[in-house]
Amino acid sequence: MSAVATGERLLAGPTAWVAESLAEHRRRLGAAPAGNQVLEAIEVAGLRGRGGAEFPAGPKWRAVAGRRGTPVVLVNGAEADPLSLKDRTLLVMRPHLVWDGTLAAAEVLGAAEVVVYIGRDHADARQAMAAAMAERRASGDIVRRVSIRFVAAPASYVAGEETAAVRVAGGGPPLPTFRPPRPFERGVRGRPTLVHNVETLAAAALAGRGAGATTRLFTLGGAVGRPGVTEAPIAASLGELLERAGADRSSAAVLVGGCSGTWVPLLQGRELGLDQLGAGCGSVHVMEPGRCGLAVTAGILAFLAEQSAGQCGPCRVGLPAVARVLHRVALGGARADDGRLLSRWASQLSGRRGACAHPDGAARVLASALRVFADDLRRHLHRGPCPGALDG
Amino acid sequence: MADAARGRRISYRLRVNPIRCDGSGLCAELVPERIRLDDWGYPVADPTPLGPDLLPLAERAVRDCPRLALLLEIQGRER
Ligand SMILES: Cc1cc2nc3c(=O)[nH]c(=O)nc-3n(C[C@H](O)[C@H](O)[C@H](O)COP(=O)(O)O)c2cc1C
Ligand code: SF4
Repeated sequence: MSAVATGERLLAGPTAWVAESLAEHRRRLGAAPAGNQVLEAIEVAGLRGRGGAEFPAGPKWRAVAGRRGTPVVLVNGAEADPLSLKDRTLLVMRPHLVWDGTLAAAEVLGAAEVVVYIGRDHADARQAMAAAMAERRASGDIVRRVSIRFVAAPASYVAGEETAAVRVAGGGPPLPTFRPPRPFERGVRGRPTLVHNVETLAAAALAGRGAGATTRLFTLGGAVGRPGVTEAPIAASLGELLERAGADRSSAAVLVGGCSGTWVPLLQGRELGLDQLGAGCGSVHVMEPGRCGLAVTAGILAFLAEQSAGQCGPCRVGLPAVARVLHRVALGGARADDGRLLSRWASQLSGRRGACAHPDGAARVLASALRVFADDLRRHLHRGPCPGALDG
Repeated sequence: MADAARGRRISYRLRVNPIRCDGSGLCAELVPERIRLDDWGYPVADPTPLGPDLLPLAERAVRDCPRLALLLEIQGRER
């Protein structure tokens, strides 16, 4: 791994699964940077969102600042993807770094409210953030004009999507809305709302201290010797990360970016930079050796179909159709033109067919599976399921 | 509006609000040049800007959609 000074890392400092105290945090990193300093720094560093879409953060802050109305900052810690753990880890271990970034955003935007949106089942993360805020209040250094509200994110995949989050924060159901208006235009209770993933806010707090935005968090899982969350340079190669994870070298492929991510063949993919691959939520999941990639993807599509909010035709009808056909291709009963059908659907489901990007994500993982497991697909279509599909 | 589009050279394109749309397919009949139906009968809007020839048809599709699920986007903004 290329060297990064430890002070510049998100998870630098104590390694225990407990929150770093405010005193330790301040001793290690100094006082919190001012809001305008953070905004300038994230623009210079070119910080991008860590929640999946990798949108540049600076322009988003500017867009919210440019609206009339008192803004809201929504801290997205829903972490709904079952292959991701990095947000929980960051919230539990470094709540003050997340608060520094959040309060800097609230300050520079003149926000009246901060909504902390954490997965319903992630109690330790929510407790760490609440305790950290209590610590700040006790030490008397909190931004007084901002009200802080904790909102539990429902345990569904789509609940982490930004317009669904905005709706839950306003007392509504966890269902995305059509855009426009986007959250920066009309968000929580109609106010311009800055929605950021928790890691993006922590990275902003580091950037504001002059550290740039050079590393990010990855969740390593699947057939690896050392599963868990690790921090690596943004442009680290997939090979470097697999090395660190102790990935099984006989695995055929790795899924990068969570359940709606991209399959990469392990042999040819090692040299690729994770920034080129589009790491999404930062999950790097190594397929069990001997497993059939088509069967694994069929399981993922079944999950994504079941998680559809059911509001948009292509998502409500298309995702289950894909899951059904992929299931019979993987496990038995395939028809001759199922391969063609699946490629056709991968393209029909991409390109903003839903109110949110859920169908795009499903199309992405499907298209990459058809590419990476093309030989398996041909064999399945001609000879039926492989042993790796049946013993999953 | 068509005149304004020509005069100020702003471009329009069709978008579908998939939450409202129930797949009646009317739009695909009116503007097949820009709206195809997918395998499940839901419209796929081609983002290519609408020329003056297609704009009146697109406006009619927007007006006549039984679910009011179509919109004309102007330079990235809706109307
Ligand atoms: C189906 C779906 C689920 C999502 N789930 C999450 C999530 O759990 N956490 C998250 O931070 N972003 C999630 N996102 C991305 C958010 O919509 C949004 O882009 C992000 O929170 C913005 O923050 P960022 O710019 O800091 O990444 C999801 C998006 C989609 C389409
Ligand atoms: S695309 Fe799917 S998940 Fe997103 S709003 Fe529409 S039905 Fe819900």
